[in-house]
Amino acid sequence: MLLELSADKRARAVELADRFLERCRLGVGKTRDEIERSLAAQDVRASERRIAQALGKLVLDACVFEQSEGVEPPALRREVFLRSAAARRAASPEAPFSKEAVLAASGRALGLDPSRIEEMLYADLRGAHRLIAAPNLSAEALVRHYEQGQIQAVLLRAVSVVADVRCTSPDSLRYLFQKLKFRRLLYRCEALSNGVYRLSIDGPFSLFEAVTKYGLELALTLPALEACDELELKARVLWGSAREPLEFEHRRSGPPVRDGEARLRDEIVELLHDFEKLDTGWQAAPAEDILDVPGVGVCVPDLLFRHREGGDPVYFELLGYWSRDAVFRRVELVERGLSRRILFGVSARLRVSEAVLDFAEHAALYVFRGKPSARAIERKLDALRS
Amino acid sequence: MTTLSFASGTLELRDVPDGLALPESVRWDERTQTYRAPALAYFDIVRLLHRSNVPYTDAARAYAELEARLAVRREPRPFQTEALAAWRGAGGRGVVVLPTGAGKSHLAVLAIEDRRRATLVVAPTLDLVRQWYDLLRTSFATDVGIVGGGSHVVREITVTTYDSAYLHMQHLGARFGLVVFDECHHLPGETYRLAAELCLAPFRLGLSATPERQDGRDALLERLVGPLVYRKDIVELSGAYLADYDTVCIEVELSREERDEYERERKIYVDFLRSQGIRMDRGNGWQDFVRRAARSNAGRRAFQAYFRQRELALAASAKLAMVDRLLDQHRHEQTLIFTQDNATAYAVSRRFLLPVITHQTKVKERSEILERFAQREYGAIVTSKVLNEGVDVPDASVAIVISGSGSVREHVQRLGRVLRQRGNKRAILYELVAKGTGETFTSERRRDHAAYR
Repeated sequence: MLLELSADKRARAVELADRFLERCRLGVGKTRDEIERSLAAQDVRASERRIAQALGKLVLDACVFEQSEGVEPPALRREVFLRSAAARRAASPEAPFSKEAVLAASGRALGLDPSRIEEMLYADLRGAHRLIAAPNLSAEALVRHYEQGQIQAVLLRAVSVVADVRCTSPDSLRYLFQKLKFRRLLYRCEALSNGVYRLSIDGPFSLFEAVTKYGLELALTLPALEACDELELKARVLWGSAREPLEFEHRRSGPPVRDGEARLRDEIVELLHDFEKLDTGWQAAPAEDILDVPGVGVCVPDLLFRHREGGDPVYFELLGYWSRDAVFRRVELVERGLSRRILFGVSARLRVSEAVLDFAEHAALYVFRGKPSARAIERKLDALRS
Repeated sequence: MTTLSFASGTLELRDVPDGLALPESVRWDERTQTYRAPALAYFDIVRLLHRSNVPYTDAARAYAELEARLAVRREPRPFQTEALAAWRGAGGRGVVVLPTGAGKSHLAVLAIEDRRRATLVVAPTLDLVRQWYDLLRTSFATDVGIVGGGSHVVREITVTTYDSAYLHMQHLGARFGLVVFDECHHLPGETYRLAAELCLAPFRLGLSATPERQDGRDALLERLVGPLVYRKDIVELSGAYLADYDTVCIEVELSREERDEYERERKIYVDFLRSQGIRMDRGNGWQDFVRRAARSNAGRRAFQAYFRQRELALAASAKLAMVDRLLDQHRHEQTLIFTQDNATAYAVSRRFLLPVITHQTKVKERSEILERFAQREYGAIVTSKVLNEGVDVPDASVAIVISGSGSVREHVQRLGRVLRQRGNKRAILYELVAKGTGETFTSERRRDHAAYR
């Protein structure tokens, strides 16, 4: 288990974070290099150095820096360097190269004092940018980010993750599922008792050596998991260069904190656009419901279709092409009580026949090659309506 | 019948006959009820199916024979012909090592024409992507695709960066039969290797002047690209195909103040090493030092002392005085000045009012600096590591290495920057070393190459 900060250490971390934030607030107008030096010069105990460096990095990331206005440094450099090159070539033992003479001649040409030229020569470098706004966040929030970053680093090494979550509001749960889908994670979900959902998520090490991109997507999902009222997370990880198998646990409860709004996957956005272009009686919108079959599992549709002439709406879930098993879990949901009208979109690469849902009148499978077609979906929706 | 298909950088195998001994990289995937392997295994799997007389449908391969024909035929140099033959002899998979300026790009053109398959060229920087784009478009008189730097145009010959390759290979990995990895010593990195693993191209060519990596991961190149099939070093080509050259090591003295401070800081650093029993000559010496230094204030002080004594040696004032003299001495020649770090590069730029190129220099300004250098409007450029590779540097005949790492590769690359042959040119590389400091050892390490003997 990753050791959480003890109360003492946490208080000390908040104190450090507060000190760093204060340095930034006092340092408005200074350069990035000066701010970095000022943070690095803070006296911390040897045992605190690591957390101090991490907090310093988070503080710097939250600062707003900008280049000083005035002379354009690239144009200034061109003028100075061209004169310098000519002066070097023309130099002789009797009249050696003189930096001062080059700066004076450049100053005359640009209408600037030579000392100002030296000052502005590299004013566009990142380290020379000036702090215009200190971070607008509390020391506690900064320490929370640090703790979250620690756990995210562990998830990059995960073989599998099991997360039990409880959300008192359906909105929080929907937010979580939308995030999971947007990040294209491979997951299964089952409803446990007392409103707890168990998410089993494949980790980046699940089949081959870690896939960095997938690991990053998993790590970026952590804030959405932590936005639930209760979270109990267990991960199997392969740690270090020796890939040592370890178990990792993390629990959190308390008021949820969100990191921005959930977004739809690109394929769903594209499908919505395609549908808007169709001359059809159906209207599509992002679905907001979670369809739960107690004791069996849940389904989180992507879209909800309503017909202009009324009738039951039809849900649509796009399953992608990674998990054949996911398709059969949806079939089982329908078999065992999912009563809403629903259409599942499945890639032909999963080699599943549309006939597997022939037994149900209110549910259907749409198998597509390449990308889903709005026209084909319309036909399936019409069939479900009738 | 067994079916092979490509899915997001992996290969799916269905209906595999019982008892067929699949390569080690193939795993059973419960989710899809198929065998799955990284796309890299395509060559091994197809060969296995052939040798085992297993009938199969190849739905994975999505590349075609090259339609474009070589439009510009340049007579290859003898060593290029030898390298191509060696690569061909290895089944079109392998690494070729040639010095900077020896015509690695032309060898790649010959390899593309030899295999005649849709080809992806992967290069480390956008500058190199542009250079490859120009070369391939001219050589094959065809439109060439670019993936990266805001473009996403895929054609039968396409050029991309390592960054874009690993991001997009899960979609592009089936569309090329030949992949050329330029400066292939980058490939074994933790993420870049995905560019090779998610791609099924059976033919692969790795190009480098110095494939060895300090972390030893160059050993991965054999799996990702193929074996080392051909190698020629600078000394074997200088005179005939590269410019003749001299290397001069100049030792400079620290000033009295610098020497006093150097000895003081070095003692703090060395005393800490001794007190902790840290041996820097061991493989994990540096990691051990960093770990232990983090545990105490004395360690932290030793860590600071290490960097300060190093900085005093690398940027000794006498070195800058020597640079001034060398700039005067070679004021009618084109000169490249190399430093170990950006801070020194900018300090040299400010002191001598010379244009500098670092990773912070914007592409537009960098192009302008190189263009003015080529036109001889600028006589010298300062750089840290950016020009070691990846940028087509106009002809220069003088290199001044103010400071550098102990890397043989870096030092050889820097020398290679002044070896492009032109008339009777004789290039010269100066290496400035602070006498009686740890830098002398660093210098010996980086000169441990035939080019410096």
